[in-house]
Amino acid sequence: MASIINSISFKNFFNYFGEFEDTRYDFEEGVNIIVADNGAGKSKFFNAFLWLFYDQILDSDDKIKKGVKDIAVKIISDKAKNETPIGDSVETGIQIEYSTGRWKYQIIKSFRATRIRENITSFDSWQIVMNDVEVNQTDHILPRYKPVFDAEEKNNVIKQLILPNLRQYSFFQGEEVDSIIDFGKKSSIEDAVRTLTDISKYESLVLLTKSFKLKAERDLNRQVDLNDAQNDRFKKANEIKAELEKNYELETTKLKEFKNLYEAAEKEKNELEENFSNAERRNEFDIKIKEQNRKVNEVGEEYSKFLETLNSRFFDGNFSWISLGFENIEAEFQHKIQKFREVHYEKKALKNISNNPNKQFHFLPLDSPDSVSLKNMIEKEHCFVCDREAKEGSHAHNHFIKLKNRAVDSKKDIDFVKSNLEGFFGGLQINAQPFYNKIASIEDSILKTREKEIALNERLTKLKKELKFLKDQKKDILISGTEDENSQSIINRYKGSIKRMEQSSIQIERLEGITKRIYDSIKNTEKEIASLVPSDIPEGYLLHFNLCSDLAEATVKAKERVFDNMVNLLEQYANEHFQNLIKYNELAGGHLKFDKTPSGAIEFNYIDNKGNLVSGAAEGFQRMKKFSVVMAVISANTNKYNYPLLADAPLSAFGSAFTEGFFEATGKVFPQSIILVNDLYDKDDEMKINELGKKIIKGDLVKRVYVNQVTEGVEQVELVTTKIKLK
Amino acid sequence: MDRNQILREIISDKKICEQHKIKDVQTLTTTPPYYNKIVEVMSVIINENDNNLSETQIYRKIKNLHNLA
Repeated sequence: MASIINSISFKNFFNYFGEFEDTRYDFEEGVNIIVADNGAGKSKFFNAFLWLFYDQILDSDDKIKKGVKDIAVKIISDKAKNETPIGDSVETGIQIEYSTGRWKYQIIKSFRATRIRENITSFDSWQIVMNDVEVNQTDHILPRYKPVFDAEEKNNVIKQLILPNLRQYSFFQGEEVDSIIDFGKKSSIEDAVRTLTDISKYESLVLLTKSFKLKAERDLNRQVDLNDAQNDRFKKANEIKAELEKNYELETTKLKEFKNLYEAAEKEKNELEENFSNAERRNEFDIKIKEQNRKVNEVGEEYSKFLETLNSRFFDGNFSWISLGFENIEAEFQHKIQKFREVHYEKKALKNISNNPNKQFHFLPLDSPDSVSLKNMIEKEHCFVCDREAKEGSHAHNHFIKLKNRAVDSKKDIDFVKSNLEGFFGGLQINAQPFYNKIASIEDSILKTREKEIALNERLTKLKKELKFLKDQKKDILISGTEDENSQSIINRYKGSIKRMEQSSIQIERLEGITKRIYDSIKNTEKEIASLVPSDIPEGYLLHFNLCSDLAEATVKAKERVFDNMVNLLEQYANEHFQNLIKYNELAGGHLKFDKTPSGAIEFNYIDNKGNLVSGAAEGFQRMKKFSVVMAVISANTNKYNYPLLADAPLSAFGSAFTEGFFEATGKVFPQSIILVNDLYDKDDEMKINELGKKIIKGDLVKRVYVNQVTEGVEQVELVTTKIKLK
Repeated sequence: MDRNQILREIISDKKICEQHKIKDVQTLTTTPPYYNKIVEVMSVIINENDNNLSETQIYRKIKNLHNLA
């Protein structure tokens, strides 16, 4: 909806003396013209809008825009200042009414000046108090205004009359048009296009989509990398799994072998179990039998040896069994030997006597009794010669001792025989000695020997019986089929099978552990593989990237397209406007050309019909070109431009040749234009406008025409601007 | 320039129309239901950019459209 200025009023504002009602200018849609000579308040009119939008006033003295408060005294109508006594105040202000859509607004900006001194032009003479901006609104149905109190809302009301970034295209004065479109600055047109075509939105979207494309690409690449890593891991996991399965196979085979070994050993063990127990028992018997045999042999040997010694006991002096029954033999021998010796000695004695009658009375021969007999007799305390006792200490006993100790002189005796057999008998005696000493004990010895023999025999017999018993027991143990096998062999085999079972069991346990671990590893690897199944990267990322990529490309193209379209449109409108602007000019116009430079900037060229570049045109012509571009910018806006044109004396910048065309063109572009001109003023004319002016105001697009004039020939303090409403 | 207009201008790209089988660009809007994913994505970008969301925030939103982390 267009903003249409309904009225502008002044209160003691420069040459506009009086209340708002006294200096009210009403406007309509379309072209509104205020014709005013120089000094008739034309630029002051413009200042009102400066105050409205910027709280500034253009100081005509130095052409510098200044703050209202700073220049307040200059703003106050001289007449009003003059008529305000010291101590009194005067209100100075502007009032602008405008409509947009449903609402109508009234904006009043003013200040109060209290005169404190005489000099009305001096800043020191006035106390200035700025009033709060007053904003009132109403809808078109109810005529009464209602005040707007919110400061932000007030600002918005003021702003929306002409938005700040659009004011340079709507609100300008004179040579300002040069700065709007400065063909020396290539960005001028671009800035204009950007402002009026929302190309900035596209630019923003271009940046966004470009960034999103990069981010999506980064995310996708990250996924691809992850996927590659995942694929690598998948491949590696499969390799690991294959390796594990191979190991599993290997270990399982080993396990099977050991299990087979175990089974075989167990089978053997079970088979041998009974045999082993029998064999063990047999072995036990064997051991016992062996032991028993040893005992039997030992005792048997002892018995044999004992029996062997029996014969020797006959002749062994320790036993003298041969002497059994010869208890009296000694006595008989003694008797007989004695007899022999007596006879011998008798004969010897007789021989000796015959030979030596002196020795006939020798009672005993030197060797008689012999020493052995003597010893016997001494020991037994008995004389065998006399056969009587000879107790120790007795005479006979002592005699024995003497005889035993006497010196032997056998050489003197003459033996009558070759041998008196003494040696023989002596030998007999000597040899028999041990025998007949034992005679008394022979029976006892025989008895004991017999007892021993019996004992040994019994013992042997017993051992043999036991041995037989053991053998019989051993025979009783049934050994099926292996009776012939050595029990130790069976035992060894049995024990061997148990050992093999044990060893196999250990290996089985170990291998079962290993296979279980490998199996678990395989399972874990399979789980990992399942989670790493290589697939395309998640579709979302690819789609996301593709979409972002497409959109980035499309947004750039859209922006360029929009820009190019806008430039083309701009060119089209610029030429239309230009043609409108110059149609009353005598010079044939060329063609405005907007070209895009390789850097993307817009180059504005003016070419003739033959396509040649035209340069060096007059200043007004140049400005008309610029203005046509300005208007083109406004026209090319896809949204209808909604703001009025407020132009102060643009025609003086363009030149009179373009005035008519200007009014026509602006009427077509701006929903409302308020143009302040002095080019149409003719003071001598009754209507105060020249012919061109009259022609112009006849146009349908021109809705209002005012002519400002000032009172002539008066002092400054009496100078006021009055208006004549022509249309 | 309104959001729909911007959306249509961008989606009217020939390549996009062919790839995403968009026949009538003028019926596209930046409000649901969306014609397809690309329209949805672009709509989110346009809308949220107008809502002054940050680039990161907008990106997160369009990622969520694909259920991406």
